[in-house]
Amino acid sequence: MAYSDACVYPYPAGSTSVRRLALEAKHLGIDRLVCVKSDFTGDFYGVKVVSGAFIAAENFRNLTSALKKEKNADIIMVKAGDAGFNRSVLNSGRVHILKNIHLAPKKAFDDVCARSAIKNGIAIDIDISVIIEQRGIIRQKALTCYGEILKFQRKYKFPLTISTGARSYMGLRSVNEITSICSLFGMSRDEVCEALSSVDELLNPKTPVEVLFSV
Amino acid sequence: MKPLPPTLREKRRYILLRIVPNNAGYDGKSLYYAIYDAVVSLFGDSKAAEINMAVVFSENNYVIVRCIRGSEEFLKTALATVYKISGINCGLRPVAVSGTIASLKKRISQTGECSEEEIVLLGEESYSVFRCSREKVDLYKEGIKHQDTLYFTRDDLEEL
Repeated sequence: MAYSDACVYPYPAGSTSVRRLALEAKHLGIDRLVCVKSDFTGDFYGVKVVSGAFIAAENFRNLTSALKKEKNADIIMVKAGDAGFNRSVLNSGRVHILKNIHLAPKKAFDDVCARSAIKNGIAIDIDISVIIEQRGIIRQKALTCYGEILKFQRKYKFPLTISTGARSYMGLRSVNEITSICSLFGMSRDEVCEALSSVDELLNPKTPVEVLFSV
Repeated sequence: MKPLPPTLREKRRYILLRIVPNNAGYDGKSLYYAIYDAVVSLFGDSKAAEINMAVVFSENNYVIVRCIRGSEEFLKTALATVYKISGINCGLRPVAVSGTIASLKKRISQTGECSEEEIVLLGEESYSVFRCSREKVDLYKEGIKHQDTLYFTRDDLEEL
């Protein structure tokens, strides 16, 4: 089971190089990093680095044009919007992760979205940077939102990912620390481990068996 | 108030933490305020009083924090949310939990000082290179308003 941090920002978007992030991730028990705004991919110090793209589009038309530019990214993340936008994104089939769900309007994610997510194998991201860096009402709202997402996940079993959104190596967190933070909104250790390892599934989605040769 | 007799006192636990980045040079007071703020903002005054957190030791890159036995997990959760001390970005990495300070002090490993080596050019900016270990290299640029720091590795520098 390879644990992944679903979104980090290495240099030049952040202050730490991909290699240094990988070195720190190795010490913290993370096996894979999804690096946004970086061309580096490969294996550094035993940590796999894959490229990711984060798209914040106002509407679905803008998203479609943005998706055409991000053909090389291994993982495509889209910023959540209102319910209609989220449903379109979840049914588009070209997105891997729906991100920043805590910033979306109140009824942006419902049972219809949850069904679409499981049908198309799209993960919902839990960004723990908002719990770490924010205080007061913003953090409270994020904890409430993540609690509700967790309830949907327990019922519909769509994949979850966990990201730190680290812009320097100090922003990375170990598996134990992530478990502690996620326990604040009721996530168990097994659920955290499953969420940390769900990037594997996104990179290698399960497809129906295809017969290539027949004798 | 008269101190409680030893039999009535609650048992304590001590957590050893490593501060990143190296050689940040925080004093105990600033560490205490940062951790206390994290505990209070996350769990409130009532739980903070229950945890009874205190910074008991701080040297080089290590700090030992005290709490009441049974509240270690709450304190560790709060420690994971510390991301700035005195306005400077940092991180606290838990190393070990123990019932005595002495056993934690044995686990403190002596890290070498960062040594200044050379100056490199990154684009049009010049950075002072500080080598912190065999692999880790920190680049510092003194600006007028703030200090810009980049965290690289030896391989990154060779590629520049």
